[in-house]
Amino acid sequence: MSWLTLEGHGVYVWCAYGVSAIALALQPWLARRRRRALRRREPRA
Amino acid sequence: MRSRLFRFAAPSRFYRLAERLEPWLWAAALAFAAAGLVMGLLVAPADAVQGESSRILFIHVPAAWMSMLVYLAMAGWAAVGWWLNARMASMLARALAPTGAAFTFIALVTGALWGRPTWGTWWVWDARLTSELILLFLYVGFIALAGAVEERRRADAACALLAVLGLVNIPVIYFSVRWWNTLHQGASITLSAAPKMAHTMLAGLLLMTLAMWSYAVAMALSRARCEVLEHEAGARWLKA
Amino acid sequence: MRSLFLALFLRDLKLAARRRSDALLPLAFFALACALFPLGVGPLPQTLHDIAPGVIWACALLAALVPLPSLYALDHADGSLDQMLLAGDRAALGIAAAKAAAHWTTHGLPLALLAPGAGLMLGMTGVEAGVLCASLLIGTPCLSLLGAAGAALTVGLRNAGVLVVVLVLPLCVPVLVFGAGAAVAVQEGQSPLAHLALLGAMLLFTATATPPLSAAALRASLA
Repeated sequence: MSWLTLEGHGVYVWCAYGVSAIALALQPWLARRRRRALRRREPRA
Repeated sequence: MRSRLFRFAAPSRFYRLAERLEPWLWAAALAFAAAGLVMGLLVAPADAVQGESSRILFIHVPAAWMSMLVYLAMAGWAAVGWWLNARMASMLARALAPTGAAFTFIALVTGALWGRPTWGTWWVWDARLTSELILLFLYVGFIALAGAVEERRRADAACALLAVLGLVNIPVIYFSVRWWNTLHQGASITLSAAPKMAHTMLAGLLLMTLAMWSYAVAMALSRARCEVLEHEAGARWLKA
Repeated sequence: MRSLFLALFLRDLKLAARRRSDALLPLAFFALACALFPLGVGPLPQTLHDIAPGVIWACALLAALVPLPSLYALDHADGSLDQMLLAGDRAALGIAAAKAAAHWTTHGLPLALLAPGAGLMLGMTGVEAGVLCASLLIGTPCLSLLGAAGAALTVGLRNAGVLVVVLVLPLCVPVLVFGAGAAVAVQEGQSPLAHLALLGAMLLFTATATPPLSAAALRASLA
């Protein structure tokens, strides 16, 4: 499990999972922001 | 029977269904991902030749599979929406596009990060990588066209046609490692023979694939709800 | 429908003959673009010889895309496109096919015939340039067909010019890869027949699959 300590090729593993995590976490957050903005536009009866 | 089939073609019913399904799908995605990551990063052995960088497999391969699957779903729903004049289906297709593009991006980036330590290069213009890059451009084109056409019916038709035109690329990506001598490794998992990897690795891979699939559906439903809010603005059921 | 195809095809050729400068502009673009590479990359003959097939093919692809926004623009602007579509459902197919054929005859064919000259300028041998010409003769109709489909999708949109390039380029990449690959194969001493055969297959596929899609796009764009 030497990838944990960033030795050898560990840094590549960290970067790969890091970039993916950011890309995957960003999307629901952006969607929720967009939904909130769209709801604010919609006047409630 | 036919009315049951088209029950969720109504944006209002789809919106409520999506709202109810999403939390479960997010939970499933997180659960599968947790199990898959434990399996892949902690339990499964590292590759004998590649060492620890083979751990990238568990994010790269599911993302690549999903990038192709989501394109098929997107083209399918776009075609359904155009053929049956069902705008909810076209909205779902538009919701799938950014998700697919993100998976393609992740596949390309994690692939490059895996290629650097194992092949010695970030990128190579072989058949599989090039066709996956083209897939990213196809997604971008779809999103661009959807944004450029203001009239909804024309946008739905145009996007459906474009998606169908690009369908040819998917078999090219999938079979590229069989048709050409590429640097990218060949298929380790086929339908006809036993998989050529350790069982724990296979389990981790399948769990991560299920996680990505749940994520993709949840994300598509989430974006579809945004599309509904944007394009059905002013509808009475929204004001309720 | 055949008479509509012929009528529209000949009309577009006549229009191109009357506005010769408009028709020759993409060729000038092609020549200029090809000339950029020796200036940018350096005049080493071996380098130029090696990159020549790819450079010429890429410039040919871009030069084929340049006249696409105006493919339907003039007819759309004065309403004659709507009029032509009124002729019936099958009319769209004839229009799409005629526009693609006219695009190839005015832009693709001269390009393919001009390319060996560019090839020689970049240091290709006669045989290689000949194979390049053959690959372009088979490949440029594919580009015209795909480009016409892209143009049909984007009729009347505000940034149709750049949008059509973004949409059509990914679809044209296989044609580019195998077209340039044919000449590269000759450079490496192998037979170009495999590449040319694949190009032929792509031509057959686009010729049968794209016109109906273009026709549907036209009907959708002008509904």
